[in-house]
Amino acid sequence: MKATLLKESHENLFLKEGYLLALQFEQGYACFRILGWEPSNVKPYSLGLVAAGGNLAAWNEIIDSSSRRYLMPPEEKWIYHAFYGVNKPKARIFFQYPTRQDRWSLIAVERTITGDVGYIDGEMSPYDGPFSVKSQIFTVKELYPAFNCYNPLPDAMDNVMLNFDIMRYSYVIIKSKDLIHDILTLKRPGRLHTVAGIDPPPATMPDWLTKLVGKDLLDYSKTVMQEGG
Amino acid sequence: MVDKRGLQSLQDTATTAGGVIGTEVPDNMRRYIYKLKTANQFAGANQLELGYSDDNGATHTTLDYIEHATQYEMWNDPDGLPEDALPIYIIPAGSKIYVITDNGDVECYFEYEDSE
Repeated sequence: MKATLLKESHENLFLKEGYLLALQFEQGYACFRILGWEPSNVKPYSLGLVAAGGNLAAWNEIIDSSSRRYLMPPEEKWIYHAFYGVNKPKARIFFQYPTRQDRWSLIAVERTITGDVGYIDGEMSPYDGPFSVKSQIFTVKELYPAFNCYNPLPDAMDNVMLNFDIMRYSYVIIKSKDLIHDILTLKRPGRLHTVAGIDPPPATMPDWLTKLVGKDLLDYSKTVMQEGG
Repeated sequence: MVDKRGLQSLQDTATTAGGVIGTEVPDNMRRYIYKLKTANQFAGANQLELGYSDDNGATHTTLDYIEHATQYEMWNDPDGLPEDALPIYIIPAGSKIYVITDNGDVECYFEYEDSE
């Protein structure tokens, strides 16, 4: 479709070796330098039949047959960076991240999973790409999203499918306060990303990562963001 | 523009009694019909009237007439369906497709997409 051709490819948003990444969690920013990357994907990921005017019975954590989550790194040494497209065009994909935290509400009342607010459908993020920037997800070990689907049409969708394009990164945690300051004040080119969203507040950093980054640097990152540089 | 992933198929029989077929077009959407294929089952000339109804067939709005001169004559519009095809009929929100014939049965096959 013509509208699709005008979009920039999501592949341009993947990070390369040496890139700087700052992920905002509830406790503060964790800053990383990307050491290496390896692409992967899940296509198709079937959500199954969605009845006319209906939803999935349960939120789907994008798992394999042994309930292993495709979108969560199995080891602490990796970060996952993913985008996804949707088949069918009118299938509305709703998002929780972390699980049980509904995202993309607009008004004071939390968005529902049968409404017109807060979803990505296959027209916004086509199955064959380029995927919407809204579909961008960063995950670390112990942190993963969940998805539901609403079919707004009067005909059943025989099989709603997602196409995940995933990049696995290796990294080092940046401990230099000067460099952290420069990343967070945009003096050094780096990617700043709020993990999960802002309402509810960003995802809570897993304990293992909190220990690696340290409370001092997390507090420092908050100070830099609040007071500027 | 037709999106193959959004296409739905519908097959039903149009009769002299007339009636709606398929589901109701959702609010804020229109049903874009991209393909219609018909086959006349009556042993003679048979006209198919195509339209839509928002009251389950009590009243209807006519969109088109398709003429069949002989039994088993088929109407296939369009022959091919290019990706940049425009819809051949549009059904408004709250309505269903309505079909009626003047002599006997006509088998109908539609491909359509519901969209804003």
